[in-house]
Amino acid sequence: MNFFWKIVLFFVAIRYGFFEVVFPRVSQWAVNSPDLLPAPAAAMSMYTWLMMVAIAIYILSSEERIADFMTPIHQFLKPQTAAAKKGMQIVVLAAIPLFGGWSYFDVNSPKMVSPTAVRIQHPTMPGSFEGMKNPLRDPTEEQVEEFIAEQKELAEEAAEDEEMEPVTVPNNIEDGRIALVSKWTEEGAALYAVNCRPCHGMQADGVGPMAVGWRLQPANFRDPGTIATIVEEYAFWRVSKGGPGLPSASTPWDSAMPIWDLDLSENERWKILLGEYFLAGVGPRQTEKLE
Amino acid sequence: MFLSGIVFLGGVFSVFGAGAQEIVDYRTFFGFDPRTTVWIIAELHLMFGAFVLGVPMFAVTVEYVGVLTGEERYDRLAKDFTRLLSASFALTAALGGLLTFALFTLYPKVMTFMSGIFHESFYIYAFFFFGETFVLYFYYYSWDRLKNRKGIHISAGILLNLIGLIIMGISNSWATYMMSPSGIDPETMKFTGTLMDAIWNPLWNPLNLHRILGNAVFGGYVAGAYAAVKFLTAQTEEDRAHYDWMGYVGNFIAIVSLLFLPFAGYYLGREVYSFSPVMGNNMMGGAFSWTFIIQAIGIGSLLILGNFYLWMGMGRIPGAERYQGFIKFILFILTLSFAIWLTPHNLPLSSGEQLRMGGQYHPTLKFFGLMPAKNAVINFMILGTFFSFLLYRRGNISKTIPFSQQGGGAKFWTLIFTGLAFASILWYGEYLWNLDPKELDLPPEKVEFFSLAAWCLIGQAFFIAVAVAFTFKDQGKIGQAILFTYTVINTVFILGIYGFVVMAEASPFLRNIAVAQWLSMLSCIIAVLTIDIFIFRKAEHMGAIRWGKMSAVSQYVLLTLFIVSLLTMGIMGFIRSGLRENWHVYGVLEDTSDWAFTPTNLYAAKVIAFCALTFILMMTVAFWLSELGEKKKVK
Ligand code: HEC
Repeated sequence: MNFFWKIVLFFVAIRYGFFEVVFPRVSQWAVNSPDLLPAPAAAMSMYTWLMMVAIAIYILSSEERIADFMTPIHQFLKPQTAAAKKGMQIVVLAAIPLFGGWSYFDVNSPKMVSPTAVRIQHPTMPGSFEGMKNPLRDPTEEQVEEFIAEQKELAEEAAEDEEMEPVTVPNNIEDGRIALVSKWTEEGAALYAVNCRPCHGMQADGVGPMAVGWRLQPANFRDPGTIATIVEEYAFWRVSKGGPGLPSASTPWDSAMPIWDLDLSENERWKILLGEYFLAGVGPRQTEKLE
Repeated sequence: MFLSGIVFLGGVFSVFGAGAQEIVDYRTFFGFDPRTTVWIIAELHLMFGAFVLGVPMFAVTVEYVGVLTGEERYDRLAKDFTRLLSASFALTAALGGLLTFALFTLYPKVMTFMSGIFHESFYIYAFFFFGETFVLYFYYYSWDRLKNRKGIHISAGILLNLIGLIIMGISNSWATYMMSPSGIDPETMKFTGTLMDAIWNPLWNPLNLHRILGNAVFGGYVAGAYAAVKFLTAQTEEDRAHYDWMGYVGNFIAIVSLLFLPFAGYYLGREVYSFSPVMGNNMMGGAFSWTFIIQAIGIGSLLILGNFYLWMGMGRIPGAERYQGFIKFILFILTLSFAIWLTPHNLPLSSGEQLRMGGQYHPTLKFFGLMPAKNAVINFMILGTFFSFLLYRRGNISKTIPFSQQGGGAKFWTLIFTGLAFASILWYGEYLWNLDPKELDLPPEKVEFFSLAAWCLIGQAFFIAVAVAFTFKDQGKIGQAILFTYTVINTVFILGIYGFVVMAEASPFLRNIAVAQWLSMLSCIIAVLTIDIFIFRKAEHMGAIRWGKMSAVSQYVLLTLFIVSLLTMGIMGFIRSGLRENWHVYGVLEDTSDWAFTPTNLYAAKVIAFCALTFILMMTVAFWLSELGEKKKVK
């Protein structure tokens, strides 16, 4: 086989053999999906272009390869005498403009397809939220003292009432602070279970019972690309303003994420975030120290 | 005719002069959008600035090489370039003046604010600008006179570069201050610091570093493009040979600096995140994430085209045919890496595709969009490029002199350089080994994720030692191969894949993984190159490089490289400046004009393309003018 056909064969093997046949099946097998999983059209066109450029570079990077590649083409284009070869020549030369015309028609003729949307994962948050801190991560001394006092009362009650579970009283402020934050986290997780679980799932993995109903899937908080890469005030903004609060560049029309500042108090929303990060097993992005 | 002219001018002034007494926050440029006006002027000024700063680096280096090697052609090249410099220097200054006017007239409020903080620095800037002018003209016009006193002349060249860097540093401080203001009292939002606080703001040094390297790259590509045009129009074989060689030198300098640029970018990006994680997210995962993909196309193209040019160059080296077989593998790796480098986490999807995949991510391709994948492939691309370069270097080498007969100097320098690489790897390995998870805000049990990276680095150090041992046993090539192979396995495969685990389990540590990958890659380049230099020293050649025996295609590649670098620079500038969103000075001075919104990528692309085109046109005219004088002299 000459160089020209090797190149053509290579292109066909990768573009059609690999991307149309092998890749969708390997992807399907890898994630155990019921459907074949071909690369999306946008990725495909990118890969195809890249491959053509790479092939052009390969051929053009040496004089010999240019010659090897062009010789069969020159041979083919020479005036032919044999009828079969002449026929072939006419067919190919006619096919090229026809193919061009058809592609043009194919690209430009009206079709029924859903438009391709470019999604921005983390759109710009309104400046008023930047710099907010979750007040529940660092309770004040008074809050902790109040909490310890409450725990003491409860412990006394528990000592008298046999049906109540025993209550531990933190013996210093530090322990008290930890105990208080974990109490809030538990309360947050409970609020999460009531409000967010249907979509985001009890494991915070984005597959709650209602998730299948949406085309744009609820965020999977265990994925390192969601709440773990954003600062907490960003998540607070998302919970407060939901899908409708997104800027127009980020497809607010197809996000089912509700607006929660209508139903939950500010304190509850911060609490939910404690629970949400805890359930997902990740923390919010911390500001790196400047070196 | 004359009278009507006066009447017309009078009319013009009376229209535009109206309302001149009012004090306003914003003005338009004859009714045109002031932001785009400033954008275009600033971009053009920056492109010229990059040229005027990048070329002297290039010129002095080349001049010094000329002294070292005693070859006349280096000197001719350096001088050629300095001539272009004097032609474009005036344009840079004129654009700078125009930019100042534009800023003060279109954005008076901003400039009042900025001059309130920076007024002293304006005069320091002007002072150095005078200095730059004097030294530049001295450097150029004393070229022949100081022919025999190169020490003085090169010192002048170095001084020129130093002053250039200071000038750039001062103007960088203004630009970075607007992104990351420091010395601001958080209560009153008023500036309470000193001038130095303002200059030394968090992004200042990262941007300085990034721009210095960027300018070196750009200087190289401009040289390449200029050489390409001269090559294509050359009348004699001799000229063709000279300009072919010049294109090669330009591309070489550009590629070497380009290898470091991603890491300067990484440093800048990290500091953006540290200054404001929200700004960081806008950059990488938000409003600018698609712009970043476009920029990635630019960077990847520069690497691939650089390799393409090297491979074509092998055609003029007798004996390089022996290495042709490697090209398809390098190309395959580069293309594959490029494809991964470009694949975004969030692919553009139609809703049919979304339904089929059950979400907005492709279940397998999504991994290519994550940071560990990007880190792995950029290292792979750089190592691939380095490999091409090694092949190019050994193209015409036939019989070599064994390392053991290379003399004491060779052994000494080999030990010094590889020892440096070895030590820095061990140093970082030890740092990772003893790293306290608390420093990264991680719980103590996450320490288990640190040791693998430390072991990989110890392995790297070990293989550097192995490579050196082989070299001393006159088996340098085998040593190189072992070290190179280990580096690929280590940076691309082990640490690259482990990055995904770290990202899921101990995400802040991913940054250290990236540094470990980069250091391993760099140590490999340093060690392998040092060995390469000494095992091929004084080797026999299969014939001289046939300069001038290059296809026209290669010259168009040089031109494309220049244009791509120009566009990439424009896009990066758009991102950097756009990150401020609707703030003139981030978080301090808000943009309340009608142009506070972030422009779309399409609009940005049009503006940048316009700037690039204008720059090329202005440059062409400047070069042509400088050529006029030359021709006269010949006559
Ligand atoms: C009706 C379903 C639904 C409910 C109920 C819901 N969400 Fe969402 N949520 C979504 C969808 C869909 C998205 C992804 C689209 C988007 O980003 O707007 C999302 C996104 C988010 C995000 C953004 C993640 C990121 O990385 O940017 C956060 C945070 C979030 N939800 C928190 C919550 C919390 C907390 C609750 C409960 C108070 C909740 N959600 C309830 C559907 C829901």
